[in-house]
Amino acid sequence: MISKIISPENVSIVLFFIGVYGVTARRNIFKTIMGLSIMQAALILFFLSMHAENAISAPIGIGLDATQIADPVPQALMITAIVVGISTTAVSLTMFVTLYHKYGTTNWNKVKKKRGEMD
Amino acid sequence: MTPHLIGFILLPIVASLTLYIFKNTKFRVISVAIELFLFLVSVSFIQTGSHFDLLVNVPLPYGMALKLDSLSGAMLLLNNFLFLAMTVYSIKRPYANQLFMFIFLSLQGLINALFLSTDFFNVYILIEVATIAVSILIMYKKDSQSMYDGMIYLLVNMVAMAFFLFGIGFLYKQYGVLDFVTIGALIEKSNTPETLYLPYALLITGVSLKAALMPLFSWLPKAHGTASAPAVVSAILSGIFVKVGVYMLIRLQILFNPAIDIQSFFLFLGFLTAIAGFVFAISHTDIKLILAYHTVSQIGLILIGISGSSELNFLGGTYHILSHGVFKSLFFLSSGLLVQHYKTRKIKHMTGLWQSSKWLSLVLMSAILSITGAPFFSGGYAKYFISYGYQGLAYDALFLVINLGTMVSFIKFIHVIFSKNENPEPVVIDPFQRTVITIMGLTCFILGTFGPFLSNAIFGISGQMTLTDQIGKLPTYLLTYALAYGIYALISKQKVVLRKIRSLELSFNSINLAVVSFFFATLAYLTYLH
Repeated sequence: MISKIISPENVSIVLFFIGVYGVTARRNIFKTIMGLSIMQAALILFFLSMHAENAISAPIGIGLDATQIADPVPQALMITAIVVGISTTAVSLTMFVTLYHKYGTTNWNKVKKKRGEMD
Repeated sequence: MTPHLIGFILLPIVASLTLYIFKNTKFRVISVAIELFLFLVSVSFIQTGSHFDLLVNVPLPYGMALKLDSLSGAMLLLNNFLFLAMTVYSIKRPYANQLFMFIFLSLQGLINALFLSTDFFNVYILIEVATIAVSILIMYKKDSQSMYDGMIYLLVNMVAMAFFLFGIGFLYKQYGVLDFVTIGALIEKSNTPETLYLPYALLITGVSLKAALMPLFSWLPKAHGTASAPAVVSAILSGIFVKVGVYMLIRLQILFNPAIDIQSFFLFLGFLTAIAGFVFAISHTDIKLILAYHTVSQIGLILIGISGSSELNFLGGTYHILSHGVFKSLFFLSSGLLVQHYKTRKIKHMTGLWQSSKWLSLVLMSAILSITGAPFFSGGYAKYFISYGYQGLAYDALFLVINLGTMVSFIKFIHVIFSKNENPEPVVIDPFQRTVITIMGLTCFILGTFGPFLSNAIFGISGQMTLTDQIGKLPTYLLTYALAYGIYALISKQKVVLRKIRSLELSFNSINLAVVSFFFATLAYLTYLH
């Protein structure tokens, strides 16, 4: 019963919305970037656990029985998604550092207020 | 000759990267030559019919393919036309160095790829990469204002694309394929539309944010109207990049239409977006922000067109994508020249343009006539078909309100041209800029006057609008303008109200809250009201 509730799909949905909480409720810019990373991790878990039951093996090797291995497509997709995720996180962290130097705060609302005064 | 569609994606990226690495001093001439080539090829694609290009020698659904049809052909035409214009425009600009051209032309390749792609995951990756390229272009001058604008843009779009990827996941889990063709066929056969509600709501949330629909447009004015971004960047963002979202919305609608038919939901959102856009535009005094908010309003109009019931409404919507792409880019280019000339972004301090430059005034006038929907101009032709076939007082009133709103917010631009200036100085425009803005001004006129011919050539749907129809619209247009002038005189006195509307601006957290609410609202609508 409990193992049915804690399925990879449910865990990834919960993780995704923890990330959503991070980006909607936290005012710290750094924490919102962390929230985004959590959302990405949830998506990776969701894709990797798709079409993969317990008795199934990884799709590595030659001459495998197609019914006995996990679906390789999501795994290939997720390598790309991980690369893109890392790059976007790196870009946003770099931007955050520059933003911090310009505005001197990590709070979205304070940054917004200072930005409003510049117009 | 079979066109190799991959060239559209690789040529601008590889060429600009090579030029950047080898520091060729002739890079400007070479990039213009490449742009001209791409533009001519995309012109030759008109009426070639749909064309399929497999990228690997494996058939769908296992391989990958690029697909050209009348819609993607039209978008390619617009994209390559705009990038050609912008490259020529920026030949003598100091900011257009090799690094800038590399990012700029890579963006062109990515946008071309988005229009040709037939695969959900490719679309996701391309949008993510294009988002990074755009946010770098926004922050190109690295000042404090554009740092915040670029950061909001990047993070909000990443959140939306996370929703999009989640949607792809649910779709893949159900069907085990990712390409549009196979998914479309499977959706048609499916007799359990309820299972599609969750992936559809997730995908639509991501795409609606890209297209800047009603509650999700707060990032757009910041990104498109940011003070320091070069005019060509704003022109590309409003002219074509926001249309990527609209294009994906059309593709999703076509795919999911057999199972989920929520045209009326989008029609409602379209009216809401169109009205919200011009309300904000009227309240602002910064020239770039007025234009950016107007992009939101015009996106609403496009949405009304593509969600309409008849084929002619759809034609109006897609045709307005082209016409808006041209006249809004022209607006942003002229606003760049105006800001440079008057050394302010406040539209009230810009006076006497007619005395300073008759040429720029005429070009700006053609853009104003286009956006307000004057007969013989591109906007007029497109809007005629967007509102085609709607009957009843409520619809008439809504279209009248949208037209009036557009006119009221552009009266400020007419003031710029015709007001008096004590000591006018001539506007400095280099010959390349002059050529580009003239051609774009003429394009606004051609797209309107030869509308029936062009719509038949590009989309294969003939939208008949005779000379008498055009002339018949003139009295209504002039009357509406007179009414708009009266309303403008009334509104401009309400300074407190205008300031209040102007200060309505969502913070980063609220924008994300809007994204999540939009997702739950769409899901609830599908589950309970559909």
